[in-house]
Amino acid sequence: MSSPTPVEVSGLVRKFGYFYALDRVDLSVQEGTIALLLGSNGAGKTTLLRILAGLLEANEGTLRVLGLETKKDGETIRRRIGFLSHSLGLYSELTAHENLDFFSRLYSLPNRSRRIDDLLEEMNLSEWRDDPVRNYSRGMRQRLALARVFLHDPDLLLLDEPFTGLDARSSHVLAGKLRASCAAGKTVLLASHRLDVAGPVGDLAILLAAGRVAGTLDLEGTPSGERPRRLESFIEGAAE
Amino acid sequence: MDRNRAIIDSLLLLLTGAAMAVNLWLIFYFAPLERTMGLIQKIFYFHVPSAWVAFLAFFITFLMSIGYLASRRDWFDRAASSSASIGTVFCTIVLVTGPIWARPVWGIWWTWDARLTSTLVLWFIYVAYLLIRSYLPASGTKRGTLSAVVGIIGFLNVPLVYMSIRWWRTQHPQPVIAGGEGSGLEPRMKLAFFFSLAVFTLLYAVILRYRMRQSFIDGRVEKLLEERRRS
Amino acid sequence: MSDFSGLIAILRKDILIEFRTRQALISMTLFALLTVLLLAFAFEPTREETALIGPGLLWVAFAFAGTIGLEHTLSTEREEGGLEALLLAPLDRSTIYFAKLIANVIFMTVAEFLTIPVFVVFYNMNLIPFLGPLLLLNLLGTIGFCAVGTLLSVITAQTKLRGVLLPIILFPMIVPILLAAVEGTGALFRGDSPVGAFRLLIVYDIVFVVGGFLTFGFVVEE
Repeated sequence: MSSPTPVEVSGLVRKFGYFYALDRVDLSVQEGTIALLLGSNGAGKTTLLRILAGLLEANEGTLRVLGLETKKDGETIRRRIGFLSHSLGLYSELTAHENLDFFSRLYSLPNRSRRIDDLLEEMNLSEWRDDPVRNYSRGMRQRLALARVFLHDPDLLLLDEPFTGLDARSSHVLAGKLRASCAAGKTVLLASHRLDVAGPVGDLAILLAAGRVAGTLDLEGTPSGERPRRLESFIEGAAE
Repeated sequence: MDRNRAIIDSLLLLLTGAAMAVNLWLIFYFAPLERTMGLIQKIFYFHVPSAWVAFLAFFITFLMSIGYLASRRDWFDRAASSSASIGTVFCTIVLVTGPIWARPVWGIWWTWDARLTSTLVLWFIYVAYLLIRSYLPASGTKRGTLSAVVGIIGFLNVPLVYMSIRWWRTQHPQPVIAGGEGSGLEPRMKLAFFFSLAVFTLLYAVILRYRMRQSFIDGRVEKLLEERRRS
Repeated sequence: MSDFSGLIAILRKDILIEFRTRQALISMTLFALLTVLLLAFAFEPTREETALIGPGLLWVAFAFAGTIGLEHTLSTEREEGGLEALLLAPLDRSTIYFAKLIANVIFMTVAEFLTIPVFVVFYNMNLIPFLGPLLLLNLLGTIGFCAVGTLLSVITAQTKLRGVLLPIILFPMIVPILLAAVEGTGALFRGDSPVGAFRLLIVYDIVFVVGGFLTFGFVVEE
């Protein structure tokens, strides 16, 4: 049985007042793909991700996430997506463990503490497990927020600038984790300015400009090392 | 289109103006002077219709707010907020004319009875509604949605406030409002009163029409400003 | 079922944070006590007068303190992007409303429990004979206060003035609660039946818990 396309969007419009943040966007992302969402500030990347996560409503257009309708099946969709936003969604008075414990309770996850400890280990936070998050550096918070996103093993990951504040090592860990997720049949939609770290993991690039899809680029045939350069020339080409 | 609208506008204004003139004549010349209260009783031909308009306006705000949440159409939001601002003005008129009448007749400016107090509470609620609205961004749907919720919750409170105050102060005398059932109003007074009620309702409708138009123009100005900011 | 465990999880988290910082309780209780103190200075009530105005004083203090509490429970969420973390969870919006409502009721009730004994001492009152009905009256009033307050605090938090507008809209909304609590407590002091007050509070609670439940989803979505 073939599963439905994880992200399928057509004619998507979102206005803020009279400003079109998204202006008739069509796109689809296949299962097991890492799609990069590129574009300058204000191109509509965050708006698109927030609509897919169900935090914003679209004004027009059809929208299917994991084959479901966001309006009708919001709860089911939310259970199966992981969304990393600019605001990391952590409670600074709680420790890393307590934060993840809270979120795993919200998702009613089984084997909570094992899963949490594994993720903290993976994100290299085990040492600070019982420190309140208010003492964390920006990079550590980012790592903890990423752990939260992976916590419930979502089928669709929506990541807004996941590499912000991460050092080389953590970026590498994240890239590896994203690839592994894809190999396990998960789908990733990732908005980033960092072509150097995000570029190599992308299978597909979608360029947004002024709320529209300005072009897409298939990267699957391109070796990882050459992807950032191809992306750069793709962005430059689209700008002309 | 514009021409038709201009014709309707002039007709409406003419009609309202003429009706108001007739209304004033009815109130001051046609209706007889009240025996005990004298001239001050005339204020009731303005006071009670203003109260009616205020409640009607807030009720319209309530309905339009529900309409907005159900449909998300800008029109409902503009109707709701326009009606609330008109209602607040008429509510203010009620609160000002009331004490002017009460002082010579009851001998006091104010009494904490159910009608007076609930009108005052109502005034506070809708001033807060307008205040909250003015501090929300004009662009986007947030302002419409949040003020619609305040418009609904605020109106739900109206009967509760009235109930609670009436029950709190049952010992107070019922206000002697002219025009109540079986108050034995003189026929000419009755005519003037109901005519005034009708004219005030018409006045509300006309002001609402203009207020909504102004609100749409505000929206257009906002749009132009925003386009300019972004370019 | 997941909604119920979600509700418990949010409550547990809010109580844990409050237990750690104690910010809400300390500021609420202090504020309520200060209000009681200031009103005592302002009115210098005799014993008979206290029986008359006491319940009113107490509820004015609760209303002020409650407003601070509402602001506070919201600010723990606001710190990290509003209610976003909760909105992303697989819960119905109304679950979030009920969780926040219950958290607010718990914090406010605790602050009330800390204030009442001091009030009793300051004003030389004996509440023991009707403590049961009095606490029930308080609880019903607190539920109504928080039902409206939880909803309105989320609304005013989205304005440019943040919390400043909350009391301006909240206080006219809670007039029925104030009157019922005052009149009900007064009836208890006089030995009359407070049934009218209970009835009014129950109607109020039902109207606004249902109202909040139905509209909360609109308030948090964009």
